[in-house]
Amino acid sequence: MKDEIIEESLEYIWTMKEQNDVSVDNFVKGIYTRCDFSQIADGISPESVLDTLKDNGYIEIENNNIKFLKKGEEIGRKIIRKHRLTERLLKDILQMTIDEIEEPACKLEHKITEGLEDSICGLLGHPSICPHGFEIPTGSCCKDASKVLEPIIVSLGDMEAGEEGTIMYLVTKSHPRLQRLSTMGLSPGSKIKIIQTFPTYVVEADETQIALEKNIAKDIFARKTNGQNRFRHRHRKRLF
Amino acid sequence: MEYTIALVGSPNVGKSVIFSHLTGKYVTVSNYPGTTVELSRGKGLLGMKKIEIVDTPGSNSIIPMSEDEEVTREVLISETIDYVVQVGDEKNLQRALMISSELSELELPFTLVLNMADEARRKGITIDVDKLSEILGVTVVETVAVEGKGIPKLKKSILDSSKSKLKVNYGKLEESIEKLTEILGNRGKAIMALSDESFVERILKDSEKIQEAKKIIEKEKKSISVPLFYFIREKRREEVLRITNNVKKEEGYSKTQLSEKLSNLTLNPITGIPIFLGILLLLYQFVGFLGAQLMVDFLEEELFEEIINPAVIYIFDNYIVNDFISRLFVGEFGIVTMALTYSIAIILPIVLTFFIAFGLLEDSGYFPRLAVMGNKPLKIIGINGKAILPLILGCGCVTMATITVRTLDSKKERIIATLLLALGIPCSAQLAVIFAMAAALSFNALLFIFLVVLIQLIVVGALSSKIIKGESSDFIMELPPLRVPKFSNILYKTLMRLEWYIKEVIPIFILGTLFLFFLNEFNILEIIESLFSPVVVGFLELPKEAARAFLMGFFRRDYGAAGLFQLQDLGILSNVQTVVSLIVITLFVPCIANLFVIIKERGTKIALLIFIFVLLYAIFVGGVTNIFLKYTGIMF
Repeated sequence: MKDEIIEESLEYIWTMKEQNDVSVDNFVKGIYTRCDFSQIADGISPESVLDTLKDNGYIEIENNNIKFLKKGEEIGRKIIRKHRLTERLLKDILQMTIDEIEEPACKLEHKITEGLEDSICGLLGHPSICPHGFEIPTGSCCKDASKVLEPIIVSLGDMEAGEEGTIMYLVTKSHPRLQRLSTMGLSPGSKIKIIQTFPTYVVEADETQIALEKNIAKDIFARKTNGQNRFRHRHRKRLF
Repeated sequence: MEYTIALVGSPNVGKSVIFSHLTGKYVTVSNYPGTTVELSRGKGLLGMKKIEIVDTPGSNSIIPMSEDEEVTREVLISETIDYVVQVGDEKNLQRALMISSELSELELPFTLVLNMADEARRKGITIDVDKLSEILGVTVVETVAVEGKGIPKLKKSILDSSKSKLKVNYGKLEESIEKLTEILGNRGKAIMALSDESFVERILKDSEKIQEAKKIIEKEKKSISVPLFYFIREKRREEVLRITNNVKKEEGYSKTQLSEKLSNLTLNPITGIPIFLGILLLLYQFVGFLGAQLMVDFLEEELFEEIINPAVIYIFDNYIVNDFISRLFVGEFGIVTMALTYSIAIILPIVLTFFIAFGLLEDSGYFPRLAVMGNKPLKIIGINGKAILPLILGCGCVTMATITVRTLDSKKERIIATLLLALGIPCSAQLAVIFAMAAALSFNALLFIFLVVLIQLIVVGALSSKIIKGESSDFIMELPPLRVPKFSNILYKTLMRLEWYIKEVIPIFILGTLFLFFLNEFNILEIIESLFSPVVVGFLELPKEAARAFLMGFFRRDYGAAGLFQLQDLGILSNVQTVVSLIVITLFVPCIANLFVIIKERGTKIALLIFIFVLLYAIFVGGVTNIFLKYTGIMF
């Protein structure tokens, strides 16, 4: 069986787990609706896919429920990460709309090597959720967060006074916070400028200055439009 | 027939100024988002037509996010509003149009006012008003409301307001919106229901219909991965942005203005703290020295003690034979010798200077900047930077400030702020009496008193933030631009507040004095004093007359402080006793008016708990301070 089929299936099981329904029935019903599964699987029955996964030690089936084994979970995690990172890349950097990103993401995820995956993650500022609001599993690069590549998308919490950008997305899980931010004009598409970062963040958006705490600023991700030269801004910060 | 007109718009865009123009009635205007927390209503004339105008608290969306914002939706949905005047900041058209689109969906006829046109010009922003008006299908008027510019044109347009044709396409939500529109009555309500779950139950009674509506909402929630309100806002924003780009012109070059530079200086702790201290010093000079010393000295010692009181006493002694009446007016608890002397000679000059200084700071837009700097320290005591306004307002009048506690986002923060206000924030008049009394001792005494009180605020705040359950809310706050205060507005505001003082406070002084007078006449006062004397004399080691001052403090705290002032004047209080009694009166129970407001705002149970706690705590701290001073031998 092709690697892609296995990857795609394990990825699907991962999403089933997120939605708390890991029954075999759910898999059988849903797997052919996933991405381009029908193209790559070429008519293989969902049941036989499950058998293969089982035989290769990726999963086990208990009481009609699918359970990841370590090997399978690792692959599922890796592939879902690549998928969702790709979505972010397509949406935030290549400016595709949310409806356009799904298909290419499905294809690209199988082609991305590990080093490339970390580079993309770094470039995007180690995002934690995909454009649809699902969690992106963290990779090794997120933990040490050594920024080999200067990220293009950064959280406001990492920006410095004087830097400007366009908000790409908010990651907050708290609805009141999201609502408050968006009614104040801090939402995707808004152009912002950081006025100061200490003791409290002050951000200018749409001719309005908004003060917010650092832990809220961290939830906002923006694409920088100036300030490649960090030294200059450090210097400016010292003045004011 | 009378038309009802509602004023709506984002915070700090000048709704209240326009309200004043339309009604001729002054409501407090300031450069601080959220000055209006309650509806104010007024009547006016447009041409020959009578109108009633409702001024609503500012909010960036009609869909409410906090207690104070609920009011606006309530008015628009449940009252019969004929026309709406939407006020927006011309600099930020996008935000104004977000509200316009909500009004359009609610099918309310409105006129859009783009206020602060002068500031927009200075920033190089121009709006093509005619084009905008054509796109929206409503009249758009540019104004500079504080200067009255554009107001005549606005007055002419209000009654010609029309429904807007602005329509946002919500993509895949459209089908559900249509279904909900049928159930709820209009598109605006349908969209609100999708954005805010509780809304359906709020406006529908029929349980079947509620179920039906909820089912539709539930379905959409599942089909869209981001929260629905967010999805809706983003669609709205796309449309609004399209319109904005169409009508807004921005000249690329706009140099950094002086006010912006100054603003940055106040926000940064390195420069901000010295600025804050500088302002405090000026405030002290103005209120503490000019008001509390020079003016009080003149009024009390020169005018009342030397001229008025002797004259009145002379008249009563010689022409009024009845001893009782004489005592009533010029005795120890006389209306003239006590109530009027206190309220006019001691308190009035102090509140006058305070109101002026406070008005200046308020209008300059400095307070929100202070909130930015104060956020971290306030977090320690369980509230955030936003609470700085109620706390500072408390230095004007604790009762007024307790109402503005409403603007805080979580219940926990509201309780803590209310408690701290009741406990340790002295109101302007009280503050001034403390200044005056401590100044008679030494600067160190003043410093000591403030330190003790400050420590109590921190200890009680930190403890209560641990004890009281609930979440602290996020600190997100809009900063209005720094502005040069308008002289006329300061004058109005000060006069308004003085009028309030004379109308509401002086009568309370007189009532309180009468109360004390009768207690004294029937010798009840002595009984009370001896009843409290174990605590006052035994524990606090104060003269028993101090009990009287504390009793007065319950009517108004400054009234109690003024009582202490007299005791000190008469030489009854030693230095240590002065300090101890001032600490007790500062921490002492909230005055009657404040107590009523706490009951109204936070409920009887919390009010009682706060009252009892504050009472015991004030005495406890006073006693401990006394012991501390005795053993360390500090005499001031």
